[in-house]
Amino acid sequence: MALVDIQNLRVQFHVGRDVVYALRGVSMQVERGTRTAIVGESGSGKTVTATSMLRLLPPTARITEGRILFQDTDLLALNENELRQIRGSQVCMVFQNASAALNPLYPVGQQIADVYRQHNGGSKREAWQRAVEVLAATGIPHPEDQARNYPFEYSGGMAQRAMIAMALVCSPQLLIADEPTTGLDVTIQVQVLDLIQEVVEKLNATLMLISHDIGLVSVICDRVIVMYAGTVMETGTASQVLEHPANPYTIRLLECFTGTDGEEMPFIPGRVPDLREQWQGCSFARRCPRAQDICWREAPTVRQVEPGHHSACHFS
Amino acid sequence: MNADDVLVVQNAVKVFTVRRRSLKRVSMTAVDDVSLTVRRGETVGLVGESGSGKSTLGRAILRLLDLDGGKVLFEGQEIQGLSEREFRPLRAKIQMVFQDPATSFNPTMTIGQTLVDAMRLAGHLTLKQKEQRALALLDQMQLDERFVALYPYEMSGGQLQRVALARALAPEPDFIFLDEPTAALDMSVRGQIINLLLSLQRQSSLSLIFVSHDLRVIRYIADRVYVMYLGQVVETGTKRAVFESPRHPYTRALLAATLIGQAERGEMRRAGMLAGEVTHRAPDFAGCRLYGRCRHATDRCAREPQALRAVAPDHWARCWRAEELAQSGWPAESGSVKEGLPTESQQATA
Repeated sequence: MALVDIQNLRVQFHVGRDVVYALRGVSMQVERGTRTAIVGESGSGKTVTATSMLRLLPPTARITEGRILFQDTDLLALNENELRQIRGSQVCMVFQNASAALNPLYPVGQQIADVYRQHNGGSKREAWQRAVEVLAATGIPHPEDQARNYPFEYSGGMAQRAMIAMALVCSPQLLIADEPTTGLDVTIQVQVLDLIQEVVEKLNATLMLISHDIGLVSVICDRVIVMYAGTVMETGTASQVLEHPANPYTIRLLECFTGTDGEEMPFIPGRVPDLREQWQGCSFARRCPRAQDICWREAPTVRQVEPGHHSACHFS
Repeated sequence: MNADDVLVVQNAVKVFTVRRRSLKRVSMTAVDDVSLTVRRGETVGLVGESGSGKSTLGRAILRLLDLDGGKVLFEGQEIQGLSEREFRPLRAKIQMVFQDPATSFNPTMTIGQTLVDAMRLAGHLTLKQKEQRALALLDQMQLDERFVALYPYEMSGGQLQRVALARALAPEPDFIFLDEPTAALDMSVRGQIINLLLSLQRQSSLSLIFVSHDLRVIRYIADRVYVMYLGQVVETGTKRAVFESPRHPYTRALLAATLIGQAERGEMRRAGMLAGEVTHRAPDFAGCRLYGRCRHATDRCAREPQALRAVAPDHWARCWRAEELAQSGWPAESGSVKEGLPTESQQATA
């Protein structure tokens, strides 16, 4: 049975008089011990899915339908107190802009130590010691000095390492990393991904990596879930989805990343649909070269392409 | 200087003084002896990560800051030291497209007003002509006429970036500096901008500098490439030379990190990876700027300044081991990463 089982999740945002339908019936399973990537472009709903899990959605959001089972517990049915038992200690999240996720007013080491004490108790001295250890474990040079430094004295890559260090002291079962390398220099991105992989292995944890970069996730993930306009398009092992994609959206998106030998750079014509609208058929129909009448009329159901590999397309 | 050189940068130097936490002033050479040429009708790709000096160089070319040394010649005319009044006639000829389309537009102006406004410097046109030209430009960017009445917030990032391109083209420039124009866009729409630029190039003699850290994009758009690291050009050559036979370890690392999702991932990635972060050395450090991160470094790299030198026809690299490493297939074991030098570890300020 899956560690995370999201069933038919629907989330809306109320912005002024508009309603943005961000998630339109998302179902996905994340098996224990896997490193699962959730891939999609802006507006696909990947971050909303992740933040729904810890109920960190902004106040304008409403979850209108669905369940999020984490080890058989419905996270959406928990009260704040019960949820707090899970946040941090069982599920940890690493955010995109690490420098902004840290508190600017306290030294980084102190923030890690506070998290440690919150979960494990113990003396301040012991917690500080542990903070220095995890900073060292995430490859931060001169950890004793760096622990005393403030977030603004950290580079983007270092701040992300510190966030990962914070996850390390919690030893969660599930680590959710939301675009952890976006905004970092490319040579640093690989380092941070390697570190995440190392930490996940050390903790024996499950990873959900959220990213727009389908090329990058293939480096450390073994399963891939592709999202588009609030729906899941394709799921499977990394090699199934990246090497033998079945869904037209995945196929076109991969082309944009890997390129072709032609003179022109591949792109997907048109734009992501306006999420304030509701439609009958497939979300990708208006940009899909293979779209037929049925694609405009009926939303495709998820069907199996091969064992473990599913695609939401009438023609997969 | 050749007749078909539109832009020539000669030995550009820019030093910034930054105050450290200890209130000690430290000088940082953001652009260090950079020379660069853009020919008519050519697209030059400028590649580098944060702190490489590519934006500073761009601001110098657009005369948004003054250099501490060196020259910038635009169509043969030295532009450093010109007064704003003297430079004004050139403003129309030198245009820019910024990284973030959401913040580079006046939110209170419609797209049509923005484009007409951009033609202020083209004084010979009547308002009617300007409006017609605005429509023609939008059409060229594959945006229909209803966009004229829209405000920036009503458009997607990809559409806005196409308008930014139309705005840059409005005063009929000879040269456009594009500062990471696709970085804020989804991968599925980057190709639209790139292909538009490619078709523009085929139709006109426009010259471009295209700044990006994304080699996937540079691969399509650039004729020649300059790779920068910590203020220096570390490798330059034709696109083919730089992409197919990179001679500098940094270029190789960038290629490995960018094209990582592709078939050759794995071995090349491990071998090509850099250790640590961008590290500013103490001012008296004479060696290679990549020293400490490079897996091929030897003691000589720490001591000797590296010169940018020809490694093949039309191909230069700033690494004395360039040929040797390429011939031996870039052995990963050839050097361990050196640590413990006097470093000024500090994230670069733009």
